[in-house]
Parts: sequence; structure tokens; C-alpha cells
Amino acid sequence: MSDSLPPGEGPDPYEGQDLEGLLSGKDDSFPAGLRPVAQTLDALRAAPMRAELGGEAAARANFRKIMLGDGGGTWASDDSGGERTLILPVEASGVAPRPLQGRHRRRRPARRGNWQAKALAGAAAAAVVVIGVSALTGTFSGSGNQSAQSGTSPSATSATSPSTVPSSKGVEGSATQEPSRSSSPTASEQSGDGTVKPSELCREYYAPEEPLSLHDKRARFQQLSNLAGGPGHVYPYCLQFLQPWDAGSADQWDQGPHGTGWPPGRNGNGNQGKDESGSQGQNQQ
Amino acid sequence: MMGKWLRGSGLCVDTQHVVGDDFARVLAEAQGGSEDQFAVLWRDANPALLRYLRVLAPENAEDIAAETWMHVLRALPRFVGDESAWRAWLFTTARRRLIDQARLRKRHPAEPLDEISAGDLPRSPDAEQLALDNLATESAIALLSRLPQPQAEVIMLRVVAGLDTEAVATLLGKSPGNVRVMAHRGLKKLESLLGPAGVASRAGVTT
Repeated sequence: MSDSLPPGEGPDPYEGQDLEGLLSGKDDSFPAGLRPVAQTLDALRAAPMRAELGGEAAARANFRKIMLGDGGGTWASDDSGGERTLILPVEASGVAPRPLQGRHRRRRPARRGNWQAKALAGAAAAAVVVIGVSALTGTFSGSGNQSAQSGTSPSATSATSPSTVPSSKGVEGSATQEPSRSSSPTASEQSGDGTVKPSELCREYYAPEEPLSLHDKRARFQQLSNLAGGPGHVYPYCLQFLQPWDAGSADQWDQGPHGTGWPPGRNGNGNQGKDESGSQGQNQQ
Repeated sequence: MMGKWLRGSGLCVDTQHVVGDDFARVLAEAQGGSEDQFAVLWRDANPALLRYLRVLAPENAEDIAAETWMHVLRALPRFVGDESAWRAWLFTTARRRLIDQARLRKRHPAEPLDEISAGDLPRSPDAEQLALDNLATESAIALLSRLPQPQAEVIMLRVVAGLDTEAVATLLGKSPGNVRVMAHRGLKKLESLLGPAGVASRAGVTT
């Protein structure tokens, strides 16, 4: 809205001062034409009507309730018969605060208790995780008695990190000496097909000089499984032929969906590759 | 022309500045918990408040006034200012409650009352009797209700609340010039509504 009167209404017959005098009610020297307006404004300023003061009792009650903390419900509207709104009483000052304070007293220690309980629960969870990892590691070390189903492992689930898997190429040529254990190599060699030594089979499987095809890996694993007495015995069986850097540590191995002892799919350069089923490892990184 | 009315048995004064010079003391005692001094403030301001609200929200003026006083009471201990500031604060609070009520009614509209001007409706069961006693004031309120709301509000804040142009401009969030224009337009509109007779003649009251 602009600050000027709109055009087309004709010349303003009254001065702004006249109108200001009307509005303020302090100047009665207005033009005679404004007398009806002045009477109307005077009527607006006129003394209170009875109905306009009828709500004093309710106002006083509200004052007592709010300013003095007086209890009890009051009607917000006046007594003149208009619509009345019940204001529900606030709790009595002598009674209500005590349970409220009591609740606060009870709540604060409860909050501390919750915090302590959460800390204890967190510590317990961490302990369970540590114990679980330790147990899994120990279980895996002795996992030769657990079977894994050949060809059914969809993905590698080992926690192996690629950086922790030693590269067979990095140690190539130094891991030529077989373990000097005297337990089973001769028997194993005799029980094999006679064409490949178990140690070579193990090395070809776990530390091949060149990456094996999936078919070759499966064939060698089958042979090793026959030699070791089952798929779950392959790793312990081969461990005696392998240098530690060839086979890696036990906890680098795939636990497999069907049990421990399933070898990880590794290619020749020591990186994590496809597992026995050819699927890409999901949690190798 | 102020203070010429005689209502009932009491001498009439206008609705502006009843407390006057004692305002600071009355306010301080009310803030300190004096119910009687609060009643002085209430008697001073409530009639003007009701008239302002009856022009702008005739259907629920009493409810809004009661709600306004509840808000004022809650903040009364923290109020600092003179009587003009007190009135400005009171009417600002009332205006906010008025806007809240308008929003509420917009969301939950009531049955429309067509063909009947809101200002002509009886506002309480004894409105007829009140009208007989206070024809001039009632007629004036009804007339103001027929003005465009911004103009009526400016006039009511100037005339009934007793606020000056600057205070009204602050309250409404407009410029003083804008407030003056609205007031003058409202007065001209009022003049055209009244004709030569005036509200006193319409009410059968002479001054």
C-alpha cells in the first residue's frame, strides 16, 4: 500500500491535522463535516460497559492461579453468559511438586545406571568378539576334522587381507626345500597316483608358479583330498610340505560356508582370486 | 468530548489512560502479587481490549481476550515499561492471539452466516439489553466492523488502545505513513457510512 491516498477520490476536504485530532481525541477543532465521525470515535472511547467488566472475578482468579500459584480450575471467560472455557487446574502446589521431584530423583540415577549398563554391555560385546576370533583361530588350526563340501563354496569368506598374503613369487626359488618331517610323505607318495608327488601337488595347488585353471585346481584339490582323506584334511596334509610363506597362516584361510579348511582361491601371484567355485571373494578386501 | 457519558450510577471516563501517573506503582505492585492492583490494570485495559477484538473478531472476542490475559499474566513479572508500552504490549499480545484464532478457524471453518453482518449479530444472550444501555458504543463497534479490517484495526488501535501512530506502525509492522493513510481512509469510509446523522443520532443519544 502506498503512503499516499489513491487518485480519483477527489480532493481531500480535510487536513491531516483534522484527522489526527479525531484519532487522538485531544483536539475538537475539526470541521463540522466530521462531527458524525467524531461522535462515533467518542462512542468507541466511551466508558466501560457492564459486560466489559463482568469478567473481573475470572481475571482475578487467573491472577491468583498464575502469579500466586493458587490451585483450582477457573473459567477463563466472564460471567456474562458467553461461551466459557474451562481451564483445567494445575496440580496443587503442596502436593504435585513432590512426586515430580521424586520422579526426577529416581530418573537421574537411572540414567547413570543406563550409561554404566551400556558401557558394560559394550565391553562384554568386545570381549565376546575377541574370544570369538581367538576361538575361530584355534578352531581353524585344528580344523582338519571338519569337512567342507567341495565345489559348493560360493564365495570366499575369509578375513584375509591381500597385504597379509605373502606372494609366492616373492619367495620363488627359496622355498625349494621340503620340510624334513618324516611322518607321512613317503606313504603319501606311495598312496598317490604315482605320477606326482604329494609335495609337488600341494605346492602346485597352494603355491603354483603359474596360475592354474579352474579345472586344474579342482583336479589337484581332488587328488589332495583323496590323499589327505577328505577335503577338510587337505590343508593340514599339505602343511608339512609347504613353507609358511607358501601356504600362509591358518587364519588366512577360507572358513567356507560349510565348514573350515576350505582353501582360499589364490592365483599364482599370491593375490586373492576366485575360489573353487569361481566366484569372486566378497570380503577379501 | 471525552468523558461526557454517564452510564449507570458512575461518572464516565473514557477507556484511555485510567491509571495515569500511578501506573508505575500499580504495575510494580501487580508484579509483586497484588491482586487488587492487577484488577486496576485489568479494569483499565479490558474494555478497550474487548472493543478492539469485537471489531476484528466479533464471534470469539471474549475467548481471545481471556487468552490474551492469560499470556499477559504469565509474562507480567518480566514486563518493563510505561503505560503506553503496557498498552502496546497488551494489544500486541491480543493481535497474536487473534491471528492464531484466525488460523485455527481457517483450518476448522465454522458454519457460514450469510447475509448477516458480523457486527450486527448479538454477542451474548443479553446483547439486546446491553444494546439498549450502550447503543452508541455498540453501534460504533458495529460500524467499525464494516470497514476493511486493516483500516478498522488502525482506527481501533489509535482510538481505543490509545496508541500513537508510531506505536501502531510498530505493532502492525508497517511504516507510520502507511498507518496514517490507512487511518485516513478508514475515517473517510466511516464518514460515508455514517452520512450526516452520526452514530449518536443513530443510537438515539445526543451529546
